Amino acid sequence: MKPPIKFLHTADLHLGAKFVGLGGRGKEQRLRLREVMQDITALALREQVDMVLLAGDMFDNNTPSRESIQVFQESLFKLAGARIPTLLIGGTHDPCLEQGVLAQLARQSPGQFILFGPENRTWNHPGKPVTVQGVSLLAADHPRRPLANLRRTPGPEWQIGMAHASLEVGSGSEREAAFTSADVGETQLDYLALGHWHRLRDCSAGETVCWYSGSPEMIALDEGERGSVLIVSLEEGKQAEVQAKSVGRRFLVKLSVDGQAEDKILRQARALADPDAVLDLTLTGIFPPQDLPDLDSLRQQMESDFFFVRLHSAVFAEISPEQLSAYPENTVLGRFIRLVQERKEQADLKQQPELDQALQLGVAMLTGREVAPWS
Amino acid sequence: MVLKQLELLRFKHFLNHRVDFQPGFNVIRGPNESGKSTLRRALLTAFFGNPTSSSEGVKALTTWGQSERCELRLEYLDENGQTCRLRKDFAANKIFLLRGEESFRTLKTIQNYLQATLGIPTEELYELCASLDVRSLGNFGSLTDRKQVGKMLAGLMTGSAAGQDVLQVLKRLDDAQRELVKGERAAAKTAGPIKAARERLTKLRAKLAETQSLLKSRGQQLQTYQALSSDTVNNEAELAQTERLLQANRKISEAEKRKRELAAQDADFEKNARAVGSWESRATAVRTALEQEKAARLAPEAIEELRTLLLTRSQPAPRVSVHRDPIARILMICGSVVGLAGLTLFFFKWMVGLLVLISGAGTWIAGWMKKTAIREQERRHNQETSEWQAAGAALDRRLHEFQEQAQGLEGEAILSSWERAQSLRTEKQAMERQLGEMPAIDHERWQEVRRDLRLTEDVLQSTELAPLRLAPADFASRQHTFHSLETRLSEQREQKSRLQALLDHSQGQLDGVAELDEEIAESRERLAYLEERARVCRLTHELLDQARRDTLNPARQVLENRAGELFAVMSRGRYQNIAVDDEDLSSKILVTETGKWETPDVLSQGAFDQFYLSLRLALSEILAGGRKPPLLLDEPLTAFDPDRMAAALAHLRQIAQERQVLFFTCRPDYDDAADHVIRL
Repeated sequence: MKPPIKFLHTADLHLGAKFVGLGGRGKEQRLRLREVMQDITALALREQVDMVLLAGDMFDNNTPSRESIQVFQESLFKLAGARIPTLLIGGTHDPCLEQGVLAQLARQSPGQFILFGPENRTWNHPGKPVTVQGVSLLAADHPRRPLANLRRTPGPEWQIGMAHASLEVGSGSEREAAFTSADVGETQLDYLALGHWHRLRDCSAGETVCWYSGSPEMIALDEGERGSVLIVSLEEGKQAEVQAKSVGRRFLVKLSVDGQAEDKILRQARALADPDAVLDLTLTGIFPPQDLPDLDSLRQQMESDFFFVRLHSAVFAEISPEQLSAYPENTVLGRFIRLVQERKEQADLKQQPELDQALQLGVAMLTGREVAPWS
Repeated sequence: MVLKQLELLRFKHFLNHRVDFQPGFNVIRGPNESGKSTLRRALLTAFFGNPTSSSEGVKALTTWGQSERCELRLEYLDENGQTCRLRKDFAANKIFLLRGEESFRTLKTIQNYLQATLGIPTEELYELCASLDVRSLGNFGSLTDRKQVGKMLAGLMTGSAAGQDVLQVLKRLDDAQRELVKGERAAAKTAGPIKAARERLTKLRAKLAETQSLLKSRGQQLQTYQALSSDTVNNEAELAQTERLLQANRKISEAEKRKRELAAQDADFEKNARAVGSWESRATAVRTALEQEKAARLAPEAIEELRTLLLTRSQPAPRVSVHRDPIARILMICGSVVGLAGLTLFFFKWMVGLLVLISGAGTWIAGWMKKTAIREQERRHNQETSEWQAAGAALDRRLHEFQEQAQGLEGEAILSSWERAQSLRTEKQAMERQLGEMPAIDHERWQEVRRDLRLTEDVLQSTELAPLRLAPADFASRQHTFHSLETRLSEQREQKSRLQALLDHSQGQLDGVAELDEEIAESRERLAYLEERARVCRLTHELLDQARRDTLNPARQVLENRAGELFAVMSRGRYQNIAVDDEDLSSKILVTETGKWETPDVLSQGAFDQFYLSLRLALSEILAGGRKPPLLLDEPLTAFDPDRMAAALAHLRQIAQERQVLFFTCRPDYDDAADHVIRL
C-alpha cells in the first residue's frame, strides 16, 4: 500500500507579461504577478504539499527582469528550505534554451529545483514513492505529439507527468495543437500536469487524471474568473482529488448594453462593480443624437468602481421621422441634423461613427450642453 | 408638454401646496403676494433646477425657518402624451423621473429628457421667450447690452442656445480643431495635443527601439558573457592545472635542493664519522702498541735512572795505571844518573857539575812526580775499580729490578721500549687531542637527516610528483604559459565584470520594454482618439457651417414673418412688418403712417410690450422647434388698451389650443377667457 501524496500544480504565470490593454494599470498588474508567485509559495507551505509542479510559461519571456527572477528565486529558496521539491518545465514563452531564464536559474540556484530539459527524463522523489517525468519545450513551437514520451513504466509508485502543450479541440485546433484526449489516456500515468491554456480545464482520459491548472492570475483580457492553482491529492484506492484554490485577484467582466441611456448603463455596470474587475463594456444601439452615450463621461464615472474599464462603442445616432419633425429644417439645428443624415446615407460603414460623433457634438453644442469637443 | 400637477414642499412660502393644471388657457389668479411669482419660479426650478447643487440660490428657495430644503414634484404629459412624474428633492440632493415604466435618476439624463420635451435648453432662454412678465417685457428694450441680446436672438434664430449662436459654436469648433492640430503643419510655441501625442509616441518608439537595441545587444552580450564564462572556466582549469604542475615542480625542485642539502649533511656526518673512526682505530692501535710496550709503564725517573745506570754500567773499569808509563822511571834513573854525573862533575867543575846535578835532580823530580801521579792514578784506579765493581753489582741488581719491571727486557731494550712507548704516548696524545678537537657527531641529528633524506627521496619518487617532473626547459615554458594564462584570465575577468555591469544595467530595462509597449499602445490610442476628434470637429464645423449658411436667411425670414403676424394681431393691424438684423438681430418696425423703419424704443409702452411679446412668442415657437413648452405669462397685458388686450387675449387663447398657457394675474378680468382658473 503506497502512501498518499499531495502536490501543487500551476503554470502560465507569465512573470513580466505586458498588458497593453490595461493602459496605465499594466504595471500594477505586472507587479501583481510577482505577488501571486509569493502567494502560491505561501499556499504550498501552508498545504504542506510533497512537491510543486510548474508546468511551463512561468515567465512571459526568456529575458525577464531581475525583480521577476528574484521573486521566483526567493520562492524556490523558500520551498527548498521547507524540503518541498519544485519541478519545472519550460513552456512556449520560456523555452528551455541554453541562454534562457530557466537555464540561468539552474546555473544560479543549483539544487534548488528540478528542471526538466528538452529530453524526457524521470525524477524520483527522495521521500515518497513518486516518479515525475517531464519535458521542456525547446522553442516556442510545440513539437508534434508532445506526450509521446510520457509513458507509465513498470513499478508500483505514483507516476506523474508534466507537459506544456495544447489540447486539440475539434478540427479548428491551434497551429501548435499537439495532443488529443486519446494521447492523455495512452500515457497511463496517475496524473498529468499540463500548462499552456490559461483556463482551468479537466482533460482526464482513461485512467489518467489530467488538468490544465490555468493561469493563477489574469494574463489576457479574456479570463472571466479569478485564477487558481490546483492542489492534487492521490490516494490508493480513492479517486484523485483535484482542488482549485483561488489565488488570482483580477478578472474580466463582460457587459453588453443595447440601446440604454447613460444612467441605465451606469446602473448595470455598477451592479458588477469590483475593484479587481476589468470591465469590458460594449455599447450597442441606435440613439437620438442628443441621447448618444458620452463614452468619456461614462468611463470617468465608472473608473473608480473597477480596476480598469474598456469601452467598445457600436452605437449609432439616428432620428426617427417623428423626432425629426421636432427639429424644423429652417433652424440651423434641424438643417444640421438633416445634413448629417444625408452624409450618412452616402458614407461607408467606416465613416458612420465619425458622422455620428459629429452629429452628437453638433447637437450638444447647438443646444447649449456643456460639452468639450475633446478631452 | 402639458403640466398636470405641481406639488411644492417647503418652497418659499408654500410649506406644502399642490396646484392642478389643465390643458389650454389656465388663469392663475391671486392677490399680490399670494405666490404667483413663486409658482412661476417653482415651475422654472422644476424644469431647470439642479437638486444636487448646494448653492445659496437653492437655499433662498426654501421656506424660511425650515431646516430641510425644498422639494418639487411635477406631473406632466410629454410630447408623446406619456405621463411623467418628476421629483426634484433639494433636501436629499436627488432627482427622479418616472416616464411610463421607465425611471431615471441621473440629472444629466433627466435634464436631457426635459430639454427634449420643452425644446428650450436653459432657464435664461425660457425666461426670454416662454416665461414672460410685464417687467421683462418692459425692460427688454431698455437692456443696454443690445449686442448681447442680439447674439442671444441670433442663437435663438439659428436654432442654438441663448448666448451660443452658431457662430460661437463654429468658433469653438474651429478653436478646438486648431488647438488639436496646433504645431502639426507650422511650428508653434506650444504644441497642440495631437502634436504632443505624436511627439510622445515618437519618443516612446525611439526609447523602445533604443531599449530593444539595448536588449539585442544584451543578447549578444549575454552570449559573449557566457562564451567568456565558459572560456574563463576552461582557462581557470588550465591555469589551476598549470599551477599544480608548476607547484609540483617547485616542490620537486625544493625537494631536490633539500635532498642535496641532506645528502651533503649526511656525507659530512659520514666523513666526520669516518675520520673519527680512523683516528680512533689509529688511537686504538697506538694504545695497543703502547700497551704492548713492556717498558711503557716505567716512570720517566726510572728510565732516567736506568739510563744513568746503563751509562754507568757501560763505563769501562778505571784504567789510571793500566798504562804504566816508563818515563817516570826513566826520568828518575836518568835524573839519578845525571845527578850522580853532576855530583861527580860538581867536584870537577862545580859549576857544570851543579848544573848537571840540578838537571839530574830536576829530571829525577820530574820522574818522581810522574811516578807519584801514576801511583795516584793506580790508587784511584783501584779505588774506582772497586767502586766500579761495587757499583756494577748494585747496577746489576737495579738492572735486574728494571728487567723485572720491564717484563724481562734488558738494558737498552727497556730504554728502546720506553722510548717507543713515549713516542706512542705522544702520538696517542696527539690523536686524542685531534679527536678532542674533532666535532662531536650528533647521531640523532644524523639519523634525522637520513630519515629526512629518505622521506625527500620518497616524495621525489612519489606518484604524486614523479609523473609531473618537467625538464627545466619545459618548466620555463610552462611558467610562461602560466603567466600568459594569468594575464588572459585577468583580462577576461575584467571583461566579464564590464559585461556583467552592462547586463545588470540592461536587465533593469527588461520590464521597461513591457512598460514602453503599454505606454505606446496607450499613446497610440490617445493619438488616434485625438485625430478622430480633430476630424469630428472639422466635420462638425463643415456641416454646421453649411447648415448655418442654408438656414440663416430662412430663419430670419421666419422670425420676421411670425413676429410680424403676431404683432399685427396684437396691434390690431397697425404694425405688420418687422425687420431683424443679421448680425445682432436688432429689430426695426415699419411704421405704416410714416413708411419708415423705426426702432422699438420709439413705440409707446403698450406697442413696445406688444412688439416684444410678439417677437418673443415667435422666437419661442422657432426655438422650440415644434415642441410646445408651457407659456408662462405674468400680467403681460397690463399696458394694453382694451381692444389690443382683447385681441392679444384672443390670440393667446388660440395659442393655448396647441400649447398650454399659464396666465398669472391678480385681476378677475381674464377669468372668462380661461379654460381653467386656479385661485391662490
